[in-house]
Amino acid sequence: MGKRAIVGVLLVLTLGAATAASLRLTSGNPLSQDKGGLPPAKQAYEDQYEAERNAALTAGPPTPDNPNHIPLPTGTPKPPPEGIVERPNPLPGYFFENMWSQLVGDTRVAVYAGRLTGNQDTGVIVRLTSKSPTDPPVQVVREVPGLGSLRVEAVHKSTTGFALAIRSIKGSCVSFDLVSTAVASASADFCAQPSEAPAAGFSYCCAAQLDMDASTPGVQSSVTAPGPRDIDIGIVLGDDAGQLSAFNFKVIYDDTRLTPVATGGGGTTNGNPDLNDAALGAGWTCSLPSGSATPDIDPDTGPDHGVAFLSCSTTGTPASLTGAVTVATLRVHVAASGTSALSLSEAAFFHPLQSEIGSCAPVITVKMPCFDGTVTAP
Amino acid sequence: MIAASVGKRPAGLPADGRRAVMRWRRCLPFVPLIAAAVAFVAADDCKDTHPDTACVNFVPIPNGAEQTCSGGGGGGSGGGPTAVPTATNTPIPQPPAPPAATTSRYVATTDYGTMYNLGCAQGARGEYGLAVLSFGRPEMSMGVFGVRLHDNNATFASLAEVEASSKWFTVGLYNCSPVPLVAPIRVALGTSNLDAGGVDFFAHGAAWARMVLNVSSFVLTNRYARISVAGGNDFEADWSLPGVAADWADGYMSVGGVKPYYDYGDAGGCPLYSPASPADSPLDNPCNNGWYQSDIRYVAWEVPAANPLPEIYLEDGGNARQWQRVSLYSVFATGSRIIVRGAMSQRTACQERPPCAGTANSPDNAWYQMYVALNTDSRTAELPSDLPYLTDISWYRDLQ
Repeated sequence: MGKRAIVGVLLVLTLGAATAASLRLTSGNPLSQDKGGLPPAKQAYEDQYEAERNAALTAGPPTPDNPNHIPLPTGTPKPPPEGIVERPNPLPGYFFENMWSQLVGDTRVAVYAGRLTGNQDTGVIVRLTSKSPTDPPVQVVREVPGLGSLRVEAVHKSTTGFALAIRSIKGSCVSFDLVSTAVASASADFCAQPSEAPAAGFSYCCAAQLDMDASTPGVQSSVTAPGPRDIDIGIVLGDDAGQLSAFNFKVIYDDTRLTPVATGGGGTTNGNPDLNDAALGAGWTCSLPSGSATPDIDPDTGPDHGVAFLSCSTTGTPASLTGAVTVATLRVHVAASGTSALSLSEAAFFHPLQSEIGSCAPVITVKMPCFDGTVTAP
Repeated sequence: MIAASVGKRPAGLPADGRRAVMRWRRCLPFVPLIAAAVAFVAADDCKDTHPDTACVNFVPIPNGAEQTCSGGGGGGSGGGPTAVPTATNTPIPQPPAPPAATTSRYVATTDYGTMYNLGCAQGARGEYGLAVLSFGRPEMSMGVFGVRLHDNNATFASLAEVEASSKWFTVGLYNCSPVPLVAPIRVALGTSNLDAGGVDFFAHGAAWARMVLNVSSFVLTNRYARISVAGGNDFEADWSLPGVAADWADGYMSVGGVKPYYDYGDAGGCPLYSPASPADSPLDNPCNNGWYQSDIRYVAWEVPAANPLPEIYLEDGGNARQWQRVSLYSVFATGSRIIVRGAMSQRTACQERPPCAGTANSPDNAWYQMYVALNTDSRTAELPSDLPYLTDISWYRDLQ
């Protein structure tokens, strides 16, 4: 019992002191929110917060000025990165080594490569497609058991567009088709080859091509045309470009073999080259340089001195392009026998807000494959 | 008894359970003295000390074997007081309702209008507590510190952009708040320890601390009395070696007058509390990726500015039990527990971007699991008021 009495006194004293301390901690400003039993060093931060709050309250906080919660207008998202980014932020369940991102038409495609967090032996490839960086993406996941963590090494052309070369931590190489999302074994060379996409990126959906025979379905890269005669050459923007609001291009040729043809159809959209109003819709305006009634803005003659130019934009509804679309037609006269090459130059195509679909010769931001054509006159 | 109550709301607790624990909790600074006193009489009558006399059950047990009073095994201790109290089975008190959950965000843009609108939406709801803006992993681009945002493309944003967008968030948060002003809300500006190479984490931590101070000064200058600003870091064991995370924390702390930061990360791979294996040992147990419990403790608690606000994602309560063990390790290593300040869940994020197999805890469950796990052992026990924060992270809420 003697021991009990001693302990009782001790308990009363200590509990009393503790209770007093606790009561001190729970008093104070009604806005106080953080009054736990923190050690002094951490409590000092809370005391500082409280002092700051009290100072603001004493000085008089402003009255909130947006009681109706009217939103502010939002800006244009900053351009996301192109190409490969190391160690992007993980998603729940996945740890990523790196990712590859590219604008494809009006859709952003991002492919993440890594592994499952719960199974380090299972590699994972996640393809996200979205219309905006902050939109919920459409997500496709491919798990690759047994390979371990994966990383994107390079981008290569494939039969369906482009495929990523993906290497596993164990040394294996696989291909990931961007369109079909199929994963297949690949040779070591596939992963070792340098990427075909420069740092500026590329657009796999939207090659620009010269269709050398606009009267024949499909895109023809060459045509045989006994002269003398006129031929129509289509300038084609490849599959599923999405919204098109502006573009320009030059077609370079030898104006001693192919001579310009004056069409003079009227208006800025019916010159030569001739905007394809039927496909692109109304509201377009084209800037035709002086003398553009004939499709050659270069006064000199000879190889590469035939220069047809067209630059068009719309202030109305952008054209919504699916499939391969001929945006304009160039008419030239086959004047001499032999083979004559034509090439695209300064070709650039844009979504609304100057978001680039792709460009070539030179590349502005997003590299676009441009395919040339030939005319053979027996 | 304790095992049965882990992970679910305990039933049949006495109505004054919370009060009893509060009495116990207030005695924490005096634990060694009480432990000695209780041990002094333990051999006489253990039951006399349990539980309503408060400050209960610090019964020294030889050889680390657990002894309890209420579990039928009462009796003499046979040993003197020790520096580290042994486990007790203080009944888990019935907690009050968890705090209201705030909305935390994976930040996907630094667009000012968007950030204002996100803050406005939270202000309009009158949210209070603590909300995290999680900006993504540290990055350096062209000699400029920044982050890789949580958009779909890991877009780079400089710290200047992070700072400006955070200020706009607070403007929206304040100006859309109800009048009169409601309870305070703390905005924690967070990054992570995800190491992609090429970033000096010490310097990034210091730069982050200065950025947080700048946003805090902006709030103070504008007298936004209900808003305070803190730092944050999603420290995860799998994302870097422990030294990298510690570098960031040290860098953050190297700046004078810093604000606290909240560790809303994990204790990945660390051992879980188990009633069958309470792990009454001073071992510093390994976790994932070369981390130890001491590393978790360092970045979450030992750094003076650090406060743990852990991810409690696992629906089976595993995350909470890992953090309880970190706190218990702290008891052994330093004589005092860490104080977990609340919990973060990811229910909304999982609904927005499923699947989250087994990790879609509701906010209330997350908080409750954390509370229960800590209170399964008197040495790590916390009052509900020690865990004032509860937040649920989202990708897209209020964006559309």
